[in-house]
Amino acid sequence: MRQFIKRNLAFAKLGIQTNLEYRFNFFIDAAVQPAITGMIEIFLWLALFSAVKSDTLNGFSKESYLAYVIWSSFIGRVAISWMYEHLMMEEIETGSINAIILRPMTFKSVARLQTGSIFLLHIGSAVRGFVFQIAYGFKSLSSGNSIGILLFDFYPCDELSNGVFCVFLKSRAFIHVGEKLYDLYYVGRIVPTGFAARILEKLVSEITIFIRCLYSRGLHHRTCRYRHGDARIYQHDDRSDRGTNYFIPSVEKRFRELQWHRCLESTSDFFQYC
Amino acid sequence: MSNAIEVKNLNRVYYSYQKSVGLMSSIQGLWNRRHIEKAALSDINLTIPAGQVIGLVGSNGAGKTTLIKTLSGLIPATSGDVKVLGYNPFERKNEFLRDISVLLGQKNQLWWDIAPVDSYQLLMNIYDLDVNKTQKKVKELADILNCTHVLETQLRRLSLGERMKMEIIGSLLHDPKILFLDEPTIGLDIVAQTSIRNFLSDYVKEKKPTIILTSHYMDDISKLADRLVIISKGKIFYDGSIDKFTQKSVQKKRLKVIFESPVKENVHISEDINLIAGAKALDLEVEPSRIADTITRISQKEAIQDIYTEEIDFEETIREFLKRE
Repeated sequence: MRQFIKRNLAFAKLGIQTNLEYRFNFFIDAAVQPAITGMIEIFLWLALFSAVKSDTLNGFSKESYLAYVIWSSFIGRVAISWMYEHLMMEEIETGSINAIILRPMTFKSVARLQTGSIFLLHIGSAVRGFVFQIAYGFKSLSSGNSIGILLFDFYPCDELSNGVFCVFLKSRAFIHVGEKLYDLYYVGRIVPTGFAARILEKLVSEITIFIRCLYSRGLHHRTCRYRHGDARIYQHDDRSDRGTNYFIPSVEKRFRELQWHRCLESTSDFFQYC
Repeated sequence: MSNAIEVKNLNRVYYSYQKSVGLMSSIQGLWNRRHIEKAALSDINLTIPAGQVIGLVGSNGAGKTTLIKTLSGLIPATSGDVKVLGYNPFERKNEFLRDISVLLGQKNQLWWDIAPVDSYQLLMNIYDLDVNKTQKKVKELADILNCTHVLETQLRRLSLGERMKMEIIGSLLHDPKILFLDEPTIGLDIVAQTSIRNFLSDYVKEKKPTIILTSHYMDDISKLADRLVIISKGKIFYDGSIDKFTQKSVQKKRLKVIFESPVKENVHISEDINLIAGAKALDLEVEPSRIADTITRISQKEAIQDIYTEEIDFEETIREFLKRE
């Protein structure tokens, strides 16, 4: 167990070190981008509430909407795993995957590194969310706003601590939990119709995944592989420095089942959104 | 001496497809592709005892890197039996991966954006190495390779030679029993090449690991390898000692003739020897039995100042062999 934690902490540290190497990029991603987008959205909601002259919209208070604005970019970006696929593609195309799969560890460890890196990129959003939630959460608590209590209680204490825990210890679970939370809290229950853009974004994302999965039934796709499979079941062949992927026959069947399961999930989500 | 590597009837086939030029053929390729197969390795049989250094030589596309990738577990064999340290390499068991190290000269094994010392720290954790001992080892190896000053510089900022030295240190930290070195000196200047070659030579004497070394520089092979394996078009053409190969292959000697004055006009000496006007010397490769006769013929036409004969070296022998192949 000691070795397990030591190794994973080392990976997380490496991810953070890698991100800090490019200071300007880190500054933009971690501070400027969340600050600007957050401010724009906050002002929009403030303007909207000011215009309607009401304390609630569709049953949700201003604080609840603002809480959503503050956290959605952070949770949304961390929860959706598009960045992992990019990293994975890069590893395959450059052949750097060779250096990873020939070490005595699973590919999951590398996912932790990547999760650690991405988490750091979004730490600006997280801090912003914390500050906001603490300020408005207490306010909501004192005014008896149940949604506010829920948000205050849920995001900082559960989601983020869970996130931090998972970044270091179980990134796969984190991705999964992140996805489910995204579905449940933003799309399914608490997001009113005003959030069409978010729904649309999610819809497009799901359709893309669905199409990819359909396509990959025969040919296999990185997205699906990464989401469901232990990366050690695939192999890389960079005969011409480009990736050509294939499966080990014994696990291919199981993997396809997982892929197909994902396709069905996507289909169900798709119709649910429709 | 037990065998570190045993390969029986190993075949590796790559599947690809051909596409004609143009957009239409790309569109057509959506439903109709001309698939092709290329045998990268054909019926390879190889037994390597522990502690031996193998020089794997072949032209581009001969199958050297494919063989290394198969032996290290990066790619599976299409058919055949491969055992490395008693393991099936493609299963990539942690016990097996702990005992091997792969250094691909054209690919980075360390992390690009961070300093080598940070990468080494991660490797210490991956291989569960003792921190103090490993740090001491890094320092020792860096001292020998004369690269202590770049240990804390980001890998991306290092020169190719420095980077390769860092990669070598990284690949040796866990004392691998088998070392796969795929062109470790490629692209390096002569000083860096010699430095790495000398380092590896000393390392081999001290630690006695099993090494599979591929290189296009024959000096690497002749200095480091105990045994030569020549591979061409996926097949092993020669497997034996370097000396035997040279003796077997070299049936000619180099003859250098220096004239007293430049040749005045084109002179025909024999079927394969012609003197060109203005030439001050003549460089030939002739069979030993024909040396005396050749010198006599030349001296009849031109005044000779000096004559040298020498053995054709290993590199040229290999070059000739590969050219023929």
